[in-house]
Amino acid sequence: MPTKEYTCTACPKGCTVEVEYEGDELIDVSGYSCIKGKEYVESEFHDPRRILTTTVKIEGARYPRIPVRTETGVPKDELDCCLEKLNRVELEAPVDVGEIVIEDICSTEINVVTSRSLARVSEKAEGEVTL
Amino acid sequence: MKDRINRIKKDIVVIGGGPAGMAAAIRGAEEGADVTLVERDIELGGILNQCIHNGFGVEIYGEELTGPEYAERFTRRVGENDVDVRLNSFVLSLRPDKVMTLLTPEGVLQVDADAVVLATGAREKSRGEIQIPGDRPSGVMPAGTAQKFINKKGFMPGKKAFVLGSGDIGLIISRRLTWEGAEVVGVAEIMDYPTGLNRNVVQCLHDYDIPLHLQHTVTNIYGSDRLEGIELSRVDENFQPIEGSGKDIDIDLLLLSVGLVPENDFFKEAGVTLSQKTGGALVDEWFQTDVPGIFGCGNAIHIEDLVDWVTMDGFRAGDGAVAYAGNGNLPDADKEVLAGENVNYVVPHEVSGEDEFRFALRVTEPMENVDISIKGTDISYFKRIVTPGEMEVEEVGEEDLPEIEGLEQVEVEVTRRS
Repeated sequence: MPTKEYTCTACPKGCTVEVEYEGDELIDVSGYSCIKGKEYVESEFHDPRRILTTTVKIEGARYPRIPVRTETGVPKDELDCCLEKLNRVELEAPVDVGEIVIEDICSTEINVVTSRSLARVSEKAEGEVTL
Repeated sequence: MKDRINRIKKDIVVIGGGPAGMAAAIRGAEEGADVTLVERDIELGGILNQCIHNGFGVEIYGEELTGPEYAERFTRRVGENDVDVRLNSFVLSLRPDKVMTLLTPEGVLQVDADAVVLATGAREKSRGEIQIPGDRPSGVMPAGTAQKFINKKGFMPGKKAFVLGSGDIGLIISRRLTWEGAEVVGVAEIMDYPTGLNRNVVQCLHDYDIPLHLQHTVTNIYGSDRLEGIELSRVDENFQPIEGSGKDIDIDLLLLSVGLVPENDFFKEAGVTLSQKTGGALVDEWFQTDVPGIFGCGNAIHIEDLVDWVTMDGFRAGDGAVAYAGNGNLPDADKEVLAGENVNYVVPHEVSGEDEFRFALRVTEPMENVDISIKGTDISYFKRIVTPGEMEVEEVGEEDLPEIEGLEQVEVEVTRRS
């Protein structure tokens, strides 16, 4: 039966947890030292998710990029698809924090939103220095 | 000429507009003090603005915000309060009597403050500080510098990278480079355990099959103009490279994630005593230094690992500054706080014992099933696991104070349960 090892991230101890599985089915989990470890590995095995934080291009702002994030974790396997889609996005300032950049990215039912607001350059406060 | 310098009087001047300084300024203004916040950058937020990953705010908001989101929440709070914010402004000098000279877009300004809070953050250690031998090509830089290039300027500093140091910055930049299409060929750590958070080891290295070389370091750098490669060697138990263990790796980017040092120049200038251990100022429970009315908080005191703690310390320093500016004094912090068994350092360094306080410590090595306790008291906190990479923060509450009162010094120790 195939096996796989995980490092639990529930606490700093970082237990090595071994799973035996068949296809999509988890047969046995061992090596964890608390219930959090078991739960962590079960969710990592069945549906590993990650929050994606990256940047997209923006025009007319004081910086050439604006940080964005997925609202919640997207399936790990969809990260490449998400990055690919975001690489082609270009926003225009002004942008508010939390604005939707891409809705339902890669059919994950999760939105990508901006992580900050950025004013238009012309709206800069007096005395501000351009980088 | 002298007459052309504008002079102003302030209750509190906060130097540094990152999370520590923003918290101190917000608290000061909330309590009715006349506060100036000085920031050299074009916006508030400090290092948070380039830390686009999530994980900020778990303790304060119960959410995993990104750095910019956390910064924006606090920037708005500064705006809602009546704080005199001076962006693009630099402190030229700070005297022990709390008179300082600022260079601002409006010109030179002399400020006479009742209390000063130094929230100047930290600097990354550079190649010179860890003395890696070899050539001096471009393509060798601190990890945080690369983070700024990528996240704020949209500029990739290399295509094939190696990271020295497994602190959180090094781990997070490894994932970031990978997501942006670079190849990260490995991360080296001189200790026999990763120094960053376990979650980051898994989500930044394991997820992308990036090898972590424990007990290894970089022993040579090659390249005449641009970096061409490094020599990676194994180290012995004294952290000395083992002869003959070196192997060459071709890369065009070497990132250093080898620690931060508190930015302490202004403390020195004001005559504040520094800690030999942390490099930051010695402070009491209000984050007041040994120069009355000069406070310090955040990474300028010691390197913290959660921004939430930085913010909370900033609030506390703000409270202290308000009390000092109002009354001209604070309870006398005459009980020295000592790092006892298995404790590398503890902050604050002195307490009065008259008010509840929070203390932060780092242990000397990873341990399981331990008690963090104050010697000679019943004050004790059980921990299933502690590591040097994760700061421990505990509170001594109102109910504990009678026990503290009887102590001449407060010795914090970490002991294993048998």
